[in-house]
Amino acid sequence: MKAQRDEFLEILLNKAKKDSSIVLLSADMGAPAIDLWKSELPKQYFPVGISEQNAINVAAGLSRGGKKVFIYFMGVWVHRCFEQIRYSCAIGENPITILGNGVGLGYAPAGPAHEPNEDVAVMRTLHSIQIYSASSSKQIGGIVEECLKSNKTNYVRLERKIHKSAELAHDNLPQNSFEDFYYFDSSKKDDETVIISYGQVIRRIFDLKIDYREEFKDISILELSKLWPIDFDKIELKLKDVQNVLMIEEQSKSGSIAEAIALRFLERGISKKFQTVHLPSHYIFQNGNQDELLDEFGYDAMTFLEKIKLLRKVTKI
Amino acid sequence: MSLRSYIYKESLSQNSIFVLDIKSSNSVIPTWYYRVVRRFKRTSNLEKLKTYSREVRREIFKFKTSSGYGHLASCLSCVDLLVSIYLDESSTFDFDHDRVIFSKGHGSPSVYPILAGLGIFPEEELEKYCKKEGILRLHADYSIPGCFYVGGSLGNGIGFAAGLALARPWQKFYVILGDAELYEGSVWESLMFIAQHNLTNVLLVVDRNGFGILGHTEEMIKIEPLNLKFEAFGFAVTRLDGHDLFELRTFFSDNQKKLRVLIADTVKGKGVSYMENRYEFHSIIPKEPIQIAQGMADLE
Repeated sequence: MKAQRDEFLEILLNKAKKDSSIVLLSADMGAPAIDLWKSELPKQYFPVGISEQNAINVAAGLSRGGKKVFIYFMGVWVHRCFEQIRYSCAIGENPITILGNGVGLGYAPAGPAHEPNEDVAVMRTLHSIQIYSASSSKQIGGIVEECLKSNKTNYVRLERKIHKSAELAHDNLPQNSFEDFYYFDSSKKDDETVIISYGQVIRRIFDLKIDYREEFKDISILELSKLWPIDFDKIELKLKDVQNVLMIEEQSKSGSIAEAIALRFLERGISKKFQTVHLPSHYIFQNGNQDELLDEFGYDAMTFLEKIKLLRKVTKI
Repeated sequence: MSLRSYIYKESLSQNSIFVLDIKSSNSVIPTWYYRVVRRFKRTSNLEKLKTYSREVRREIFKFKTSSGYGHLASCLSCVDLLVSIYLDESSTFDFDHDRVIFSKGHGSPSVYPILAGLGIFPEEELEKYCKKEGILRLHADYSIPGCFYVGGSLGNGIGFAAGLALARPWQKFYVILGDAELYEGSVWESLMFIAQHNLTNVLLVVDRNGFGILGHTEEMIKIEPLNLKFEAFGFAVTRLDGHDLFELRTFFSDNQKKLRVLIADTVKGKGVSYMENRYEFHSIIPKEPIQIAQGMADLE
């Protein structure tokens, strides 16, 4: 099993061998797959050093010059070069694909400088941006294809760690599949409660469906693969008869996808009960690895069940 | 074939990156139509070039003062650089092939009278600068024929040009940098990148007018000695009077394949007596009739 970054970069490498317009920039980030690019396609690979702002501008120029540009760095650095992404890529209409590695708490316990708990919020403010997320390697090939087809700037959130349970949950998906979202039905036909989530935090929900089979048997999961823009119409249709929505994100609440979905429901006069689980709305100065911190912040069975209980109890608004 | 397709094909045949077209309310007028009626022609006659510079400054002064928008003084300082690039016959700049990237976006309107004079768009557009019905904006962008970069955020055009130069080694990219723009760290990141990849098809031109919005650069945060800084980054530095068209010719006619930067010592507000070297005029445009009359008289 490979890390998402290696899966992505290797698939891209094979595409790039047949298409010389595909180029990769790396801003001070290595990976086994980067070594392959270096040795196998040195003319299509550009290390740019620790210079994310220049890297984005160069990428925009390469894009305008006819290249299909991918740039790889730690997810948190989108904050550092946000201006260049907005200005040179979005306003300038020079589409590139940004591969942000180690999103959410992926780099814990490296501290808040390395743990973006607001990257989705920040990036989705950009007009014309497309944001992708994968929870298993099965989706990576499909996202590569989407990015190559796209004429917009893409931000691909790559999870740092490999989690077997996320892979197992996607066992039935075809390799390189891509859907805007996946819907994993509960045993019941007419769903009462749906959990919406994305990225590898979703593995915790799949795990619970095994460990707490009885408690979670009536709960379906809607996994977002394309985070932004969301196809609200399709989601609305899918959730037509659903009463309760629990949204779980490895992000802070402000500017989250949950906010966007809740707003959409409000604007359309759609009445649903809505609960969320989010990272705290502050920078996290706390030791612990990703899983320890997720436990700490309530990404566990008890909290999820509590929220679901609350949903079932509260009167609809 | 539709007119739009024809123009597109035409622009491709000229190896242009972008489709050059003019949008009017109902129709698309091909650029070659205007190029037939152009006012400026490339020349090696220095006196003629000086006349062009004066004309360009007058036009800039007119459309800036009539609209009240933009950075007049910053535009006036780089006029001779642009005249030398675009209009001096000795310049190696190939209009159909090479690109000027205004990293210093607030100075980019100074190119409008030149493009109009070359017939890239109708001269009447100058009168419509920043007006709803016009195509010319405060910061040039690629929707304007002959412009290839969205201006307005400093420190970025140089990196963009580096990417273009890497993708298109057969073209030259002239980057106009402001001197106060050099405060942006991204400029120096790009310099390292350009040097690393030996992008000799990027020509850097620093409009060294000495002033940022709040005063003289050396009184705010010193940027000198610029020559040594650029040399340390691997560039051959030429420093000269940015208003001397003869001196400028020596730089722009040189086709050597090496990393080059021109530091052009210029005067902010050049040509308008009361604006010259006055940082207060960075974003203030004269409004009083007496100031406007004086400015026009100075630029005669």
